[in-house]
Amino acid sequence: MKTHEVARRSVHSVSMKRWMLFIAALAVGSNHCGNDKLPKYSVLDRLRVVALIADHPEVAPGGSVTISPWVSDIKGAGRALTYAVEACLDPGIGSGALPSCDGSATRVVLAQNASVTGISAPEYTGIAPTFTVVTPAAQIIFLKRADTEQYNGVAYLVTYTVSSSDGQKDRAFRRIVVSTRPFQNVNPVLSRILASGEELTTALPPANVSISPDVTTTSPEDYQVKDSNGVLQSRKEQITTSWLASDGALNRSRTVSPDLNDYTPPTAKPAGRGVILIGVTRDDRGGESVKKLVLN
Amino acid sequence: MRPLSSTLISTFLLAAALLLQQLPAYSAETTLQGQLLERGTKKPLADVNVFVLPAKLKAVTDGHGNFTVEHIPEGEFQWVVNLTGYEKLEKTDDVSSKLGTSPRQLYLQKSSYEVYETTVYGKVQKRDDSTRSLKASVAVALPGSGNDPIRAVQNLPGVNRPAAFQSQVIIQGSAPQDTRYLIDGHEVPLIFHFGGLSSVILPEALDRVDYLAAGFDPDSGRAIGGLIGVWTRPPQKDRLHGFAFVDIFNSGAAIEGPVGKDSSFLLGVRKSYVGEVLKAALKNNEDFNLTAAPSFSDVTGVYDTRLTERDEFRLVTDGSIDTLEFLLKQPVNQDPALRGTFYNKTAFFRVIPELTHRNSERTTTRYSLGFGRDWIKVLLSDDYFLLRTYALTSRAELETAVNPSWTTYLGMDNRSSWNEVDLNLPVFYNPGGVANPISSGTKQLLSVRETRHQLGFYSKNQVVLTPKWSVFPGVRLDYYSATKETLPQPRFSVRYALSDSLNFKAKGGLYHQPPREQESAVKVGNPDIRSPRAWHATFGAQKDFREGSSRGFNLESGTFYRYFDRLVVPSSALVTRDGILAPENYNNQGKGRAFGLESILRYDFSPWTGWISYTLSRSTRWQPFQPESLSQYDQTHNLNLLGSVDLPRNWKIAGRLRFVTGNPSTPISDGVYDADNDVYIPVRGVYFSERLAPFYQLDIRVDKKWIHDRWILSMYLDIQNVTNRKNVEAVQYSYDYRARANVASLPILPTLGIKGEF
Repeated sequence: MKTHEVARRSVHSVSMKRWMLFIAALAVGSNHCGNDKLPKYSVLDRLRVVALIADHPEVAPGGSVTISPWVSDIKGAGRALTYAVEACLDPGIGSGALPSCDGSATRVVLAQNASVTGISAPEYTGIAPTFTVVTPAAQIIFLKRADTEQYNGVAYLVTYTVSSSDGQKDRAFRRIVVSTRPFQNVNPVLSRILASGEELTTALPPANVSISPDVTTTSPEDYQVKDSNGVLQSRKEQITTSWLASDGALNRSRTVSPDLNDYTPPTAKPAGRGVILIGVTRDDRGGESVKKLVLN
Repeated sequence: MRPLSSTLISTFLLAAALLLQQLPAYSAETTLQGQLLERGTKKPLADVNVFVLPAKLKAVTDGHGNFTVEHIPEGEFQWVVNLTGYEKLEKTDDVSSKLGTSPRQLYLQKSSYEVYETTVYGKVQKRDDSTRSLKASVAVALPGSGNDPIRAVQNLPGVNRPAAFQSQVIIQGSAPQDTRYLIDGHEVPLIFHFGGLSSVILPEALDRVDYLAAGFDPDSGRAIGGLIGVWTRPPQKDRLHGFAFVDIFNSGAAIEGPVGKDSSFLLGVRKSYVGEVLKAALKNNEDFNLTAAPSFSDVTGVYDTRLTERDEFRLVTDGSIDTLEFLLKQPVNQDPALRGTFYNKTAFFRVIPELTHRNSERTTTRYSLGFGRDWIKVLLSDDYFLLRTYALTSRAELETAVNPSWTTYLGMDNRSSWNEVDLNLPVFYNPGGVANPISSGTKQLLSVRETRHQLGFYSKNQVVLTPKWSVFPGVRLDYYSATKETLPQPRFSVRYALSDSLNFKAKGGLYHQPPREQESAVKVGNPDIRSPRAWHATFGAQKDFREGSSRGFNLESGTFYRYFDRLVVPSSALVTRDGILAPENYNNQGKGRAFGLESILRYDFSPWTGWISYTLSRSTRWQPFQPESLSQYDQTHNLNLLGSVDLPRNWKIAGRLRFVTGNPSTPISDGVYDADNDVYIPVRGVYFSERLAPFYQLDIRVDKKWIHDRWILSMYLDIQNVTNRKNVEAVQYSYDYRARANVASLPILPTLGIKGEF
């Protein structure tokens, strides 16, 4: 009876939450809210770009950036994958433009139909071939850009598409921030994933554990932005960690440090491979860091 | 002895005879005074025959319901009053009872009481042919309206069904922002509280709700869709009245009555507590904290006075506040930016003084002002939007009957606002009704202080050419400081009365509205934006089948056509402005049309009443590089069946059945992963090329009144979605837009309310 009551309240609570989120989404003009029947973000089960890590998320005009794509094809059984990379001036994604270099006069094709290597059996999840992007010179990327925008940064778009031989595809993009800011953003550092305060390494936890990212204390940086009147305003980065797992269940898809997440391991280990648990830490300004664990 | 005894006997017999002669005359007849009142409302009933039976005596009540009956015989008798519309009164009385000969009060019970009986008042207002009015006292009792007469407007033809929790009125395929809301002719920023649960003004303070659709007259403007105008009524002057109510969403009370000989007042307040229910429901949710329950309150005041024989003054005040706050402890799956504290407060007040001066038998002048403040505060984690506005609206109108067949109106209708805007928000991009995650929008940091003036002048004429033909030429001239445009807008209508019960009308004109503040703002909008415009044309007929009877059918039917251009649409393009590359944000490249057929058939076969309203329409939009597609607000069929029956003992049952074509939606063909923000950007298919499933809903309402001599107790049960149908209100996508699911509407929702009034 008690269990039934808890379950009933839980269902009611989920339903109410969904409605409140719906109301909230309407209030902020968005159409996103949760649905238990839809695929979950945190489940790693298809061909998917997990992250595009730039060694320098923010550079001066003309700076070069090496990008490491994290790709997962855990159920692909080692099928052949190819990738394509293009770069161009940001067409205005932040104002609603599609994240694509199609039709752009500044389009640069960096790779086309190139083979994805490096994500190996048995988990097929890891860093795909890296590539380097050289950002345009100031006279191009800062053309007709206000001083305020030059300081805060003009985005240079990099698109990355990974395709399988049987027609599946995942498209992703990231921006390289090109700015005149004296102190440019650096990636946060996700050194370890902790389970109940202890480092989680290779052993699959026997039961439900609280997990958290171990992010260095210097990761959330202080920085400045110029407002529309050119006045500097101070900000501090907020570190968010996204969680993905191939098996088992994560209570939350994202956590804001220092909050914990709950991970429930699968009742039976998957055959022939380990369980993948990934944390991706972001600083809200393009800085990223990935930690992948294979748990057996 | 004999003579003495004989004399004594004679004297005694004479005295006895005299006494006996006097006694019947003194003991058998009494004069009684009394007052005849309507039961529950204590309204005096004038010119009513009051009978005393079986003596067959009769008196007639005066203007205050007072009467006097003479020669009432000794013993039991019956008061009998028989008046059309009231239940027959038969009351036994006796002058020898405890009451003796003190004045009597007789209460006559009406056959049927309206929902808030103490506030039924009539007020003659000029109207135009495009106006449909709902008497507030009637509309409030419509099923599904939640006791709110403004929500009841949704039962009229041409009014789209809004999606759940949307608090706007969508008229004849136009967009929600194309509708303006007025209280006594003065614009207010919103007409409904949060989620559309209730309107922002006390329903009992209203005389009527006007719904102005295509082809409205030039005295109204700044809207290409239409207007919803609510009109307050004069407070009652006969005595002190009041009421208090409570239901599951809110409670309130009001009091009204005379102030001196020529003045009267009304003051009412309401407070919601719907949020407390939600708060309790979400108490144990670890991810979602409703830190402050969503709530709304409003206060309405009306003061009415006759200054002189020619001057009347009214002061209307209305204030409204809505708040909602919750804490998302963790980011929402689909959008990491949706996390932390969400706080929304929307508030406004208006003070509206109005002076009506009758210059002469043929000329009347009306002046009114609307002064107030608006506040909007939205906080979402570190993002914010703050708007503080001082608003001043002014109206003046000179009405002159030039001759018996020509009446002219000259007027002005102005609005000025002093705005303070502070925002730190990402760009919100929502074409096709599909929103990009706000995480991916460019952050906008802005602080603006600006003044806007909107001036309007109009001339309107009613010319009766022949007993059958009337024409109504008019013109409106608007000036908008934000766009620096001066906009003449001709309007014309003609009416032909084929008979007393059948007439035809045609209307047309040009309509403009200013762009919204965010659309024309320097940084976040497009300072070069112009005002959208629309051409309206309508043709209709009205046939009253009652032919003078109070029972029967009344049919109104017509067509409408609207052509929109210069519509403001979102733009993701970059443009050069003052030599700097900047987002265009918006442009005027939107066009569209909306046309349809609408009918309403009212029937009154007391105790059965109701109406059938039906709209067949199509609304489309297009812009360069986008083919013509359905608009977000296209609803092919919109059918409303309403019926009610008055039952004995003051029971009333009403029902509403709705069928509406599902709203169009935009399919999403793919999602592109934004690795910086960990969200997917939707790739939209053809805008609004899909439809949600049709909407069906049955609502039932039961009213019961207990009529006491001096007060009335009412109870209502309003059950929305009686069949618990899972209507689809929206489509929801997975995090990567590769899977979708429907969002169902609210389940069966009963509302129980109770009200006492005197």
